Amino acid sequence: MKLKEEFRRFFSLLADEIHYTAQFLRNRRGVLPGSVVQQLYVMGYKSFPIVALITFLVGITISLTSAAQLKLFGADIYLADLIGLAMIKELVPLMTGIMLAGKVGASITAEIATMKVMDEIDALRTMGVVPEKFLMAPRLIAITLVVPLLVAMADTVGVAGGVIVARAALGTPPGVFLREVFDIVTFGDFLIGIVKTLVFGWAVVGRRRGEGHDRVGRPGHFADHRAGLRFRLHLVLKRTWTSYARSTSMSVTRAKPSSAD
Amino acid sequence: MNFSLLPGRITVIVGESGAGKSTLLKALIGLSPPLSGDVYWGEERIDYESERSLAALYRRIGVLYQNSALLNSLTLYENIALPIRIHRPETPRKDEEDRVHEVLGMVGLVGADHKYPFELSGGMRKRAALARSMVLKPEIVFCDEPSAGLDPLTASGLDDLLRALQTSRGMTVVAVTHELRSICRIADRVLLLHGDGIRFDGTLPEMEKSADEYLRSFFLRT
Repeated sequence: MKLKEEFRRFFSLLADEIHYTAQFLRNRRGVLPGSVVQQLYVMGYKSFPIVALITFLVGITISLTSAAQLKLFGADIYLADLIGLAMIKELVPLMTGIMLAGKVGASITAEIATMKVMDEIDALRTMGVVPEKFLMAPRLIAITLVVPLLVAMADTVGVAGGVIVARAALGTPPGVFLREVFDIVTFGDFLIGIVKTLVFGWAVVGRRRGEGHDRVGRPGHFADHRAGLRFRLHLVLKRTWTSYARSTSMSVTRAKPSSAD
Repeated sequence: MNFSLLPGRITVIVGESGAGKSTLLKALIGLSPPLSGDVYWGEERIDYESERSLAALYRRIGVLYQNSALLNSLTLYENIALPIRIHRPETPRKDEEDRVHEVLGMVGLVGADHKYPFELSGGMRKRAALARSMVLKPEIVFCDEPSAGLDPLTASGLDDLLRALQTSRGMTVVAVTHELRSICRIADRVLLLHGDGIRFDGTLPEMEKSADEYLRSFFLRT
């Protein structure tokens, strides 16, 4: 019952955000000029270093652990396939989602909660400003614009980690590695990564606004912890489902001619 | 409870914690509907479900919040200009600047327009919030605990400022407070809330003469 209520609440918040964002796109009145650009800076520019660092390290770690195993079977070139698919379809969206939840989400929660405690939300309302439009529309637009860029850059950095390990541990030339990545990864895979991260991003903005606005000051309140836990639980369930689905269909959808031989 | 506000006067709402001062204030400023009954502006009933009705109310009132409620990401100038940009976006920039500097002058903050709220003292923030509440020339200014959290000297300065603005501009002011000094300095009329209704409604001299046991004990304790 609680889960049902959570879902209902989440979709109602998201519908709210979309409604006010659509209003904002039709009529900018009631929102400060430049607020989208400011949010682009905060969500994109300021998040990129940590997203890049994490995806780079994940790329290196997976490459290092896989390279030794693949070498045993003489399947060195398949490291490129593994890194390409794993990073672009799964790990980059996952890592970017976690980073957005942790960094951007926490800052939204803190900002809205502080504004609520300091009566700023009420003040906006009594000035005739719709706080949902004033605060959330720029954020939702910014995260929609920033996610594809973040994902593209994180994909590049993650694959770069693989390139470095492949060169150092297996002696695979970067050109060969990248050609293999481009062969196996389709534009659709890249888009899937973006869509997944976008969904995470919207969830972060919607949920964190709710957390900051409604739950601040309640007994035992740990907005950050609760949202993070819920997000991780969601990811674990999703990963389990994806693994199961893949184990039943991968041999058909991802069969590849043995060009590496 | 049933009462009307006196135009051009300062009405102070007092009461113990939990008496309903903030709930009443929230109903008066359109933030939440009263649990029962209605609020009228002249002959017009405020419809809390109607955005249009609330927008009309918001254009006619200014609110000074207990925490000042200035937006920390904006400078003082931008904070004070915000209601103009929201309600009258067609206002020429020159007129906007003139009006912002005029209200800053009224509250004694000339030259602080480029500062951010976190760079100001508590008293300055309160005065800046008062300036923002007056920038659209509202018919009523509502103040929630105007002198709360200020030292006695600054609190007394703010009270004097409210009184001076009311006298010079004929503003109608409604203040919620429980500070006796403040009440004595600014109140034209005192409403004491107790239980489900208004225990006392009268002027300061009437309050001093009142034989009501609760009223006397409330102010003695305060």
